Amino acid sequence: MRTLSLKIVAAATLLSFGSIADAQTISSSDCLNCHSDRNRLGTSIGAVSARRVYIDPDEYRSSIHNSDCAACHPGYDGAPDNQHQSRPPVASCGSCHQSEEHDWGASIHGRDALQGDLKAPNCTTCHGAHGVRRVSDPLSPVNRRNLPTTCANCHDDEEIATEYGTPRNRLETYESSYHGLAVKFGRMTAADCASCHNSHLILPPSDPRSSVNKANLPSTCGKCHPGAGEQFATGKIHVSATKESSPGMFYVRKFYTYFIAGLMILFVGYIILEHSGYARARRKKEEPK
Amino acid sequence: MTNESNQLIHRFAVSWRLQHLSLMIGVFGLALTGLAYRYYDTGFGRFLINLEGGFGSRGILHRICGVMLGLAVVWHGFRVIFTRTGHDDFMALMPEKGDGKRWRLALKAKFSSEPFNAEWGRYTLGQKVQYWTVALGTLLMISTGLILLMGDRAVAALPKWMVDMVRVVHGGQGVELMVFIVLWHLYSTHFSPGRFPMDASWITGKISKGQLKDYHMREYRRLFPEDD
Repeated sequence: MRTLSLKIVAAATLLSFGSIADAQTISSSDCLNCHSDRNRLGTSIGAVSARRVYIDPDEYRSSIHNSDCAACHPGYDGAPDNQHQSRPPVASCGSCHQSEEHDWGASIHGRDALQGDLKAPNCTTCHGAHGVRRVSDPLSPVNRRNLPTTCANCHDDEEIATEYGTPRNRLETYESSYHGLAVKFGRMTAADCASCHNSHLILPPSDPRSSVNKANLPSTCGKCHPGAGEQFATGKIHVSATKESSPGMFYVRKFYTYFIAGLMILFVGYIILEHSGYARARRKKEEPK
Repeated sequence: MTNESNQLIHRFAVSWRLQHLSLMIGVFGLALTGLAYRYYDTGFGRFLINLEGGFGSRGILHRICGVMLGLAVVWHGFRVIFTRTGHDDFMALMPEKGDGKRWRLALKAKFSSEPFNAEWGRYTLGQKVQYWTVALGTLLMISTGLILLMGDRAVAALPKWMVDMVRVVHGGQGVELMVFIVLWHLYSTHFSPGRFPMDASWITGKISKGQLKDYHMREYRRLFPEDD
C-alpha cells in the first residue's frame, strides 16, 4: 500500500514537472518548425508591419550557439506548437561574455550604442546573429580573412565617414599594406584590424587609452615587431600615396610613373627611328644606279 | 674579303659571360617574382603567382634570386678590382671624351640614308649607358631589398615612413630597370637591324671582324693595327 502511494506521488510529480517543462522550455527544433519557413510572416506590432521571421536553419545549426534558442531568447511565452504573440526578449550577450561586453561598453562603438545611436555597432553587427561562429572559423565575419571587409561595411561607407568624421580609405590602405597582402595570401599571423585597434575596446586615436594613440603605438606595434620604437611610430600607419596624406611618397611614385612612361616613349621612338633609317638605307642600296 | 669579315674574334672572357649569365638569371627571376607581387591584383599578377607556386614560394624564389644577383655583383666586383682583364673591361665602360659628339652624329645619321660609322671604341655610348644604369639601379635595388629583408630589424631602426618609402623605391626602380632592359638591352640584342634572331656574342664570346669594324671601329683598329 505504501509502495503504491509512493508510485502515485512519483507519477504525479513527473507529470506535473512535464507540463511545467512544456510551458517553459522549448527546443531549437520547435522554433525552427516555424522559423525555417522562408515565407512566414510575424505579427505586426503597432505601426510596424509584419516581417519575415525566417532563420536559415543551416546557418543556425552550423553556428557555435546551435543548441538552445532560449539561451539568447529567454521567456518564451507560447507553447512549442503555437505562435507567440510578442517578440521573445533578447538576452544580453554579456550574460555569458562578460568581459567582452564590458570592453564593448567602454569602446566608442558601445558608448554611442548605449546612448541610443542605432547606427553604432553592437555584437551582432560584427559577429552576426543566428550564425555566430568561432573567430578561428574561416567563415566567421570576424575571422582574419573577413574582418577587414566586416569593419569596412561601415568604415568604407561615405555616409558614415561624413556623419561621424571617421577617416576614409581604411580598407584600401590596409589591403595594399604588408599586413593586408600577407593575410590576403593566407599568412594568418599577419595583423588584421583588431590586432592594432582591439576587438572590443576600440577607441579613437585621440583617446590616450586607445591602442592606436600615438603614445601607445610603440607598444601596440611592439606586440608583433619587437623593438619597434617611438621613431617607427612617427609615420602614418594607413598610408595612401596622395598629395595630402603622404606627399613624399606621392611625389616619388609620380616621379617613377612619369620617368618610366618617358623611358618607354623614348625607347619606342628610338626603335621606330632605327628601323625606318635601316629600311631607307636598304632601299637606297637596292635602287639601280 | 667576305671571308675575312666573317672571321670570328674573341670579345668576352668566359668569366665575363658567366657573370652576365648569373646576372641574367637573377634579374629575370627577381623581375618575374617582383612583378607578381606588384601586380598581385591583376590577371597578369595572378598568373605569375600561380606559376611561382603561390604567394609564399614566390617570396622564397625572390630571395633566392636576390642572393644569386648579390653573388654575381660580388664576383663582378672582385674581377674588376683584382684581375687585369676585368679591370680593363671595366675601364672601357667609362664615359670618354668624344662620346657625346659621336652619339649626336650617329643619331643624325639615323635620319639619313648615308652609311655612317661612329667609330666607337670597345663599347658604344649606348652600351655604356646600359651598363651604368643596370649597375647603379642594381645597387639601389640590392640596398633597398636588404632593408626590406631585415624585416623587424628595419622596423626597429627606421621610422615607418622610411620603410614605406623604401618599398615604393624598390618597386618603382624595379619596373624602371625592367623597361630599360627589355626595351633597350634585349631590343638591341635581338631586334636591332641585322641582329635577329640574336647577337650571340653573349654566349660565344665572339664577334665577327665585319661587325667589329661596323660598330666598334676604334676597337678594331686597336686589335688589328696592321689592317690600316
